[in-house]
Amino acid sequence: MKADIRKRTRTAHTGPSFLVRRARIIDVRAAGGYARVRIAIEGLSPIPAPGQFLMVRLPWGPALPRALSTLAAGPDWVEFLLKAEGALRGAMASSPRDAAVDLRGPYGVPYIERIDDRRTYVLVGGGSGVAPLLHFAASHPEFVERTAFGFRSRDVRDLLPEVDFACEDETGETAEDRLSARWIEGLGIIACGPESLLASVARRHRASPDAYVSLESRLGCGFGACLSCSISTTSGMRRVCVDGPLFPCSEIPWLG
Amino acid sequence: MARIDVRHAKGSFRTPIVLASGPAGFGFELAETLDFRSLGALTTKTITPEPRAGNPQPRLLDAPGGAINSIGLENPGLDAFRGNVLPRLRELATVRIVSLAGRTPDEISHLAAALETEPGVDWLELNLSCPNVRGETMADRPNDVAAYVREARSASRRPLLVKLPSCDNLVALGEAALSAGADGLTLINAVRGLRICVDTGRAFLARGTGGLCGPAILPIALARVFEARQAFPDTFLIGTGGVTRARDAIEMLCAGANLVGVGFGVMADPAATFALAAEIEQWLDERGIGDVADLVGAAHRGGWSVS
Ligand SMILES: Cc1cc2nc3c(=O)[nH]c(=O)nc-3n(C[C@H](O)[C@H](O)[C@H](O)COP(=O)(O)OP(=O)(O)OC[C@H]3O[C@@H](n4cnc5c(N)ncnc54)[C@H](O)[C@@H]3O)c2cc1C
Ligand SMILES: Cc1cc2nc3c(=O)[nH]c(=O)nc-3n(C[C@H](O)[C@H](O)[C@H](O)COP(=O)(O)O)c2cc1C
Repeated sequence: MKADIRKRTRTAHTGPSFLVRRARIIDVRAAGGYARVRIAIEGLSPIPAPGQFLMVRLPWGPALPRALSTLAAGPDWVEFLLKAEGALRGAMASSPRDAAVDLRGPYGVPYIERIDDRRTYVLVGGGSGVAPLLHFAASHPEFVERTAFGFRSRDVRDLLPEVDFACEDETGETAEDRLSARWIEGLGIIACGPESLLASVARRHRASPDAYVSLESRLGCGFGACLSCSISTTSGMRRVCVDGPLFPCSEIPWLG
Repeated sequence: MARIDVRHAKGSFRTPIVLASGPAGFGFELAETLDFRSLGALTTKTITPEPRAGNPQPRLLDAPGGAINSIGLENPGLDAFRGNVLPRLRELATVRIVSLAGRTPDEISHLAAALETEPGVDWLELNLSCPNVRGETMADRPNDVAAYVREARSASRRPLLVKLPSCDNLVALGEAALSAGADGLTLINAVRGLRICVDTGRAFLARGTGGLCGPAILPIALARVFEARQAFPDTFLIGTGGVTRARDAIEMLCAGANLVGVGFGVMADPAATFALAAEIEQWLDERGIGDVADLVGAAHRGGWSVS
């Protein structure tokens, strides 16, 4: 059963994913420079899988939608973890309850279809990059051996009370430090977060066949047409939105 | 029910809505679920003789009312286009306009000749206005435009469009293109723009400048299309730039466009782009206007009387 889904390169787009749906923000909690935002959306189909993202726009915000990974999702709701800065994320982090938001998607290859399912993994996350990793851990606990998460501020605990992470302003420890302390030979890695974190994972673990990083790029369409997000890989130009966002470090030698 | 098909001696279009070159790629992702019969045509991503990787990242950036892109013509090149793309393109239920660019008129001649016998290429569009590649395909002198168009014209019998930038010698460039054998003009490409990061004082995009697209450039595109229609009363025009809503498309038609191109709108809201033709039809029906052709150039004729 598991073998069937191994390393499939992309998911089929289904009809509803091109439709912009008007949704409603039902809860916003902000702390430590981040916000956890819960959104009610009718008939979200298919339900976003861990690693997938939605293209998000606020009616009064920037005209270009932004990609946000899901922290969690159900048939009629999604949850995001945002860094509370920038035109869209800043506005969402301070938006009132019941505010309208436009979503389309889901897009991107679910992590589970990209990774080798004969391994177990350490999940490495910094800041908002923790969002898809928490979604993955909740859906696929059997693949998660340990985690190495980090945020700058301890205040983020208010948003993620159930999650174990390092707080730089408490102990000086970072996600990178945790990875060094917790990694053992034979584990795969799935990392998401700031480019400096991904670069350090790539530098140290490129030789390992199952070190993956979830890349960020400026997305235009989100579904593979506009080529805004293309990156070079060892197998040619690839689109972060439909070929990723997860890529093996071995395929992106320029990182790190 | 009003007519919304657009007739041209060299081919007809089911609706006045055209996917502009670039944001829709080759249309495949959209074709998986959206109905191409609601379009007049798809313009492909611009093809060059050799594959290109485009500009370094970042190459897309937000701007008030739109975005700035510096993709830089990433494309698979002629051979892969013929081998991998065209067979799938043939299956799309719409007119296919294949966009071409080259570093020299010879390259254009090579491209046009190579596609001459390929089925599935309905029109050609010469992209002479990409703001994102240095020192090439930015033909800003009438002589250069004429040289490119002459080569394409002698290599191909296909209907030929020439895509021009928003510039003050637009009429001279258009004149050069039409005299050299173009069947129509596509106006406009993205408008050169720049944004600077206030944290570093450096340009945001790796390439520095890029092309501004989206609602922000609608008035610029309307003015250029109006200008071109005034200069060329009978020329076939695709008006592109900033159209995201049916009313924007109607303005573009009134300015003088025969067909309306949509770029940014496809990135922002693809399904809405595919709904534009039906919205235009409804708008015409509500006003008892029998044919979308009646709108074309209405602003040059003093509009219509409001009862
Ligand atoms: C697949 C994918 C998934 C993602 N998931 C998430 C997620 O779950 N959570 C999350 O928070 N992010 C996520 N991102 C990142 C997010 O999509 C991008 O950062 C997006 O651009 C944010 O948009 P924005 O409008 O908030 O910020 P923008 O306004 O686009 O700004 C981006 C950054 O630039 C800065 N900036 C903007 N203008 C200026 C200026 N003039 N001078 C100086 N600085 C400026 C902003 O402060 C901000 O730090 C994801 C990205 C991808 C590709
Ligand atoms: C992401 C992107 C890629 C583009 N690529 C091309 C291209 O390859 N060839 C071309 O002629 N125009 C290209 N354009 C320009 C558009 O076709 C169009 O002329 C311009 O964006 C203005 O229209 P809009 O405001 O509807 O986007 C591109 C535009 C965007 C946004």
